[in-house]
Amino acid sequence: MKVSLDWLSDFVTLPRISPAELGELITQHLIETESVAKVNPHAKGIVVGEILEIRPHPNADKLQLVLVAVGNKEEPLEIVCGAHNIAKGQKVPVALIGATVPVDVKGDGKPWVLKETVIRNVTSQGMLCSPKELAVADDTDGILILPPETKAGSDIREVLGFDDWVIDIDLKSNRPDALSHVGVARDLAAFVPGAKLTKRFYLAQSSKLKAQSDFLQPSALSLQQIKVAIDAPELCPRYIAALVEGITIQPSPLWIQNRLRAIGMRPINNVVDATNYVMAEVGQPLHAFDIKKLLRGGGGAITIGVRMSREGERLTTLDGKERSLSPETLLITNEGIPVALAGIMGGAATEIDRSTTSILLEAANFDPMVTAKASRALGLRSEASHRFEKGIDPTGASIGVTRLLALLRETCPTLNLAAIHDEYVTRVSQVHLTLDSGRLNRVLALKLRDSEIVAMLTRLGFDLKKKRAHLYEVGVPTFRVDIHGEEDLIEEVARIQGYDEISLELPRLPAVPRRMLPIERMRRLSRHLLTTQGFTEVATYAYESEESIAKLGLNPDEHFRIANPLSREQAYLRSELLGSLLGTTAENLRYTSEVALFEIARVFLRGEGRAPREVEVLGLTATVATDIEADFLRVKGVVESLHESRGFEKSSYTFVPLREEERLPHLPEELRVVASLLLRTASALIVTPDRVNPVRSSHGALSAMFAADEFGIHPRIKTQGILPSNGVKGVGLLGVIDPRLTARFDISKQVICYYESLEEAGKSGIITVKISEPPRYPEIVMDVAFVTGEETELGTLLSTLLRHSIPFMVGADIFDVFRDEKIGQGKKSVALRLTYRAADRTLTDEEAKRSHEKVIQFLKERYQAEIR
Amino acid sequence: MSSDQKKRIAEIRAQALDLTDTIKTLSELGEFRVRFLGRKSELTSILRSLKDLPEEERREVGKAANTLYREIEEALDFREKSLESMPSELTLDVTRPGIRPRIGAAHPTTKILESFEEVFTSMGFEVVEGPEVETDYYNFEALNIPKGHPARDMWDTFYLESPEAIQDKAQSSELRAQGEKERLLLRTHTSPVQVRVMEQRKPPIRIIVPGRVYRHENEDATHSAMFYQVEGLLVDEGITFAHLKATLMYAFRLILGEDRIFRFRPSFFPFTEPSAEVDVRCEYCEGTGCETCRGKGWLELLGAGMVHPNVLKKVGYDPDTVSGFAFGAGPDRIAMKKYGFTDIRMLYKNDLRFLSQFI
Repeated sequence: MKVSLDWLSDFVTLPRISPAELGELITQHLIETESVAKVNPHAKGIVVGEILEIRPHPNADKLQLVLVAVGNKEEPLEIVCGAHNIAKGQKVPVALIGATVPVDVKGDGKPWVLKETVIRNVTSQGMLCSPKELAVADDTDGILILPPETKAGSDIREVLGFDDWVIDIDLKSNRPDALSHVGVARDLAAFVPGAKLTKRFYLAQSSKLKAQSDFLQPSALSLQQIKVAIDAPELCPRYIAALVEGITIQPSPLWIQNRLRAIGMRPINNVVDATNYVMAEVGQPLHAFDIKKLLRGGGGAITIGVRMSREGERLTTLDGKERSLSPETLLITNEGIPVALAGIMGGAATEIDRSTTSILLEAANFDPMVTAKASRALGLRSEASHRFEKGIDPTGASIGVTRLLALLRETCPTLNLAAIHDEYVTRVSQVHLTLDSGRLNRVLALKLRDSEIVAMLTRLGFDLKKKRAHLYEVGVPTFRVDIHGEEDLIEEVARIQGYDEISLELPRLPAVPRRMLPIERMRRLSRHLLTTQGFTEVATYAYESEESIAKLGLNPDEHFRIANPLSREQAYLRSELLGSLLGTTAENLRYTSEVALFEIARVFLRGEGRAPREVEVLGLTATVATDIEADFLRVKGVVESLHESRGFEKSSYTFVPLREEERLPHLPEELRVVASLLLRTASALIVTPDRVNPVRSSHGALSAMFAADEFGIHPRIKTQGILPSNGVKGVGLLGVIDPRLTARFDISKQVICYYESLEEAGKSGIITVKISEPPRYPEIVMDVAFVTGEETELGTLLSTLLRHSIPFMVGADIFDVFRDEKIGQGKKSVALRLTYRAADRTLTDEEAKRSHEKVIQFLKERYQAEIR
Repeated sequence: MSSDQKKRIAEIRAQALDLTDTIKTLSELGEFRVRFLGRKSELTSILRSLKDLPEEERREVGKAANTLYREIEEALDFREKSLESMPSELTLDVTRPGIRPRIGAAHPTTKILESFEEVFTSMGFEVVEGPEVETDYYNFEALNIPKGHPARDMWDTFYLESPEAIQDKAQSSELRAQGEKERLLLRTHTSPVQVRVMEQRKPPIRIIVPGRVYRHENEDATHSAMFYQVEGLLVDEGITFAHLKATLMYAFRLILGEDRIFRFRPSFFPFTEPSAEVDVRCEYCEGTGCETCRGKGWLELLGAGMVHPNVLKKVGYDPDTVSGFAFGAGPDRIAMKKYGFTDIRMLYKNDLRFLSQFI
C-alpha cells in the first residue's frame, strides 16, 4: 500500500528524518518498504499561467497563439499551442524555456528539457502542458485546466503536490488496520522515536453520526421511504445507509486530487474521490448509489437488502462488465433487485453521474470469507474487497460516514444528511487476552521492564490492566483483527522493540549423531559419479501432457490428474521420467550434437490409498554419436562404476537380459512402467531374476561377469535389468530406446537409457565392500584370438568359461572384437586375454600353457571357434 | 694463506654449482668436468698444494676441497642422467589449451541444497523428507491456515482431481468437511513435513526438509510453478528468538559467505508468531541499491519465526513447556543470487548451454 507523507502528517508529527530513513524504520518495525519516492521528482520550471488572450496562428490553421501571464513581475509569454480545450481567463501549467517536462509524450516517455522553438515562423516562449506531460493522468488530448483560484506564477510542483513523498509498504494479509493513513500513523507513533500523534488523529477516530442528525432537514424523500432489511446479518454485521442531498458533481479540490494521485488513485469527481479518500485515510470502503436511479429501479421506493445471490442472477458492474453471479456471492439489493456486489463493486445501473444531486451512501461491514470467495469466483478484485477480505473493524463504518460528509461539504456547502439507517446487528466485542511479561522476555530473550512493555502496547492502542506481578489483562482494540493470543502480543513488542535488539545465542542441544538418509546417500553418489562422467543434471516438471504420456504408449487414465492445471501441457502427474528426458534431449539437440543428461526425481504411481505412491527414480539418457556398440558399452560401464561407487559389492549385482514377459513382476512397479513400455515397442525383451554365480574379485573376472548378458543393437531395443543379490527385485533397466519411440519425440539419433529405482538401490546398497589384497605371486597373461559366429554372446561365453574350472585361470577379458570381409559375413573375430596364477607359488610357464590349451579346447568345442 | 684458499674454495663452489643447472648438452657437460675437476683445474691445483701447508691447515683445507670435489662430481652425474633421459629436441607447446575430459554439471539448485544439508547436519539437524502430494490438512489446516483464511491467498494451489469429491457432494456436511481435509494437492511448501514429523516424535526436534514444491501461478522471471524449498524446524524446551537468529545467521554465513550481512525484519506467516523475514545485503551494490535488489540494497533470503502455539497444539505438544522456531528458504533464489542470473525459469528450462556451466 502506498502512503503519502503529506497525508500522514495530518495524523502524526514526525521528527526530522529523511523519507528514506522513515522507510527504513518501517521495514524494521512494521513491514518491508518496497520503495520511497517523490511524487514527481522531474518537473522543473513549470508555473501556473493565466490565459490573457487566444489568437489564431498566422501560418497554421490548427495552431493558436496563446498569451499567458505567469506572475506579476514577468512579461506575458506568447506560446504556440495546438490544443483547443482552453479559454481566456483559465489557469494552465506553463513550461518555461529550459523547463524539465516530466513526460515526453511523443518520444520515449522520459523527462525532457524544453528549448525555445520556432513553429511556423512564430517563436513559442514556452509550452502549455497536458495532464500526461505532467504525469498526472493519461490524458493527452487537451491542456490541464487548473482551478480558477490557482495563483498565476506559482510553481506547479507546489500546486500539484509533486514534492510529496510516497512510501510503498508491502502489508501482509494480517494487518488490514494498517491499510489506511490513520492506521500507519498509529504504528509510526509507536516506533519512530519522537513521533507524536496529532489532534486530528484522535478526531479521526470519532464518529458524530448523532450530531449529524441535528441538521436533518425536511426533505423530498422522507426517512420512512428508505428501508434497510438485511437477510444475512451473519455475513453483514453492520450496514449504514445514509441519504445525502444537496450534491453538485464537480472536480475535487486540488489537494484531494493530489493526495489521491500520490497514492496511485485516479481522481474522478468530488463524490467518488471522497469515498476513495476516506478509504485511504481511515480504511473504511464506502459506496455511493444515485438516489434517483435507485428510485427508478425500485419503482419509486427504496428497500436496501443484503442477501446471497440466486442461480442465474446477473449484474453489470461499474467497470461495464456483465457478470453472471455464482450462488456464493453476497449482494446488495434494492427492492430485491441486485444493485451491487457486497464489498466488491457497485452496479452500473445505480452509478452516480454528472446529474446526481443526492446519494445513498453505504458504509458497511461484510464477512471476510464470503467476500474473498466471491471476489475469487468472479475474478474481480477492488480496493474495497482487498480490505473486506482481510476483515475490518465495524466501528469504522460510522467514522467513514462522518469523514465523508466533512470532505464533501468542501465542494457542496449545502450538503444535507437527510436520513440515516445504522443496522448494527452483531456488535463487535473487545477481545481480552492475558500477557505474561516474564514469558514475553523468555521467548524473545529480552530483558524489558514491564513499564516498557506497557508503554509499547498502549501506543498501539492496547489497553493494559495489571492483574498481578508480571501479568496483565490486555484489551485488544477492535481494529486489530489479527490479535488472537499472547503470542500475537509478543510479536507486537518484538517488532516495536526491533528484531535487531534481540541477541544471538546458539541453542544447546544434545549431540545426536545423524546418519544420512539412504536415499540421500544414493543421490549424492550418483550425482557425483555421473557428473564426472559427463552427464549433466536436469530438473524437469513433475507434470506432463496427455500427448507426452500417449507418445510413450502409456494410458493417461492411469495417471493422477491435476484439477486446475496451468495449461493442458501440465495436466498429469508423471509416472515416469522418460517423457521429460526425451523431451529435454530433443530440445537440446537443437543446439548441440550430443546430449547426456540425468534427473533424480519422484514419479507418482497409483498406490493402495487415495494418494499416489511417490517413488524416487533416476533417469539417464545419452545420445549415440556414431558407434552404438561403443557408446552403449561406455554407458554400461558408467552404470557399473555407479553401482560400485555406491558400495555395491562386485558380486552382489548383475545385469540380466529381459527375456520373458512373465518375469516383469520381479521388477518394482516404478521400473515396470518403463519396462513394459519398452517391451511393447521392442520384440523380445525378457527379465530373469536368476542369480548369477558369484564371481571371484579380480578385474578380469569382473568384466567377465558384466559380459554375462545381452545388449541390443539397432533396430531392436534391448533392455537389461540390474538385480541385487538378494534377487527379489530389479534395481534398474539399461537399454537402447526404440528408434520409433525416439522419433515420436523428434529425435533422429539413437538414445541409450538407464533408468533405476533410487529407492530400491538405496535398500540394496552394501556399505562395506570386501577388498582383496594384491596377489603375492606373479601372473602369466596369454592371449587367444578366434573367429566365431555373430550369434555368440560374448558375455555368456565369458561367464561360462569362468564356470568351466580351468586350473589357475583367474581372469578373462575381451580386449578386441572386429569384423571384416576376410573373416566373412555373420562372423566376428574376438581376442581374449587370459590371466593365470597360482595362489601359493609362482606358476610355471608349462602349467600356464596347459591351462591355456584347455581354454582353446573349450572355445573350439563350445563355440566352434577357429583359432587364429 | 689458508684463509685465502678457503675463500677460493667457496668461490669455486658457488660458481660451479650454479653453472651445473645451465648445462644443456653432454659435450658441454664434458667441458665443464674438465674445467672444474680436470688436471688443470684450480681445485686440483689446490689439492696438489696441500702438502705445502702446515699440518693443521692441511687437514682443514683438504677436507673442504675434497668435499667440494665430491659435490661437483655428484651434481654433474645427476645432470648427466637427466640429460641422457631428455629427448634431444623437445617440441611441447605449453601454451595450447588443455584437452578436457567431458564433465557434466550438477543442477545449481541441488548444489545449494547439498550445502544446506551439510551446514545444518553439522549443527545436529537431521534431513527428513515428505510427500509432494499432500492433503489440505497438512498443507494448510495443521499449519494454522483454516479454510477461508485470508492468508490462504499466499499460496496458490494445484489440486488433484479426485473422483470422491463428486460423491462427497451427496453426503453430509460433516463428511464433506472430512473430505475437504483429505483433499489432495501438490504441496505449496515443505512446511507440512514439520507437522508430520512432530506428530511422530517428541521434542527435541531438529530437522531440515528439502524438496520440490508447487504453486499455481503464472511463470515469469521471478516465479516458477515448481521450485525447491528447504524447511527447518527446531523444537525443544526454552527455545527463543535469539536461538532462531543465531542458528540462521551462523548457518547462512557458511552457505553464502562469512562476510555477508543479514537483517531480520517483521513479517507475517500464519504458522509462526513472531514472524520474520531474513534479508542479505545485496552483494552487487553492497547496500546502495541496484537493479538486482530493485534498489532496496537487500535481497530476500528466507521466512522464519517462532512456531505458532496453535501448530504445536495441533500435534499434541504443550506450548507452555516447549517452543520452537521454523524457517523456509528457497534454494532456487539463493542459487540465482550466488551465481548471478535473474530468470528463475532458467533452472527448469534445462538448456544444457546454461546448466553445463555449473561444473
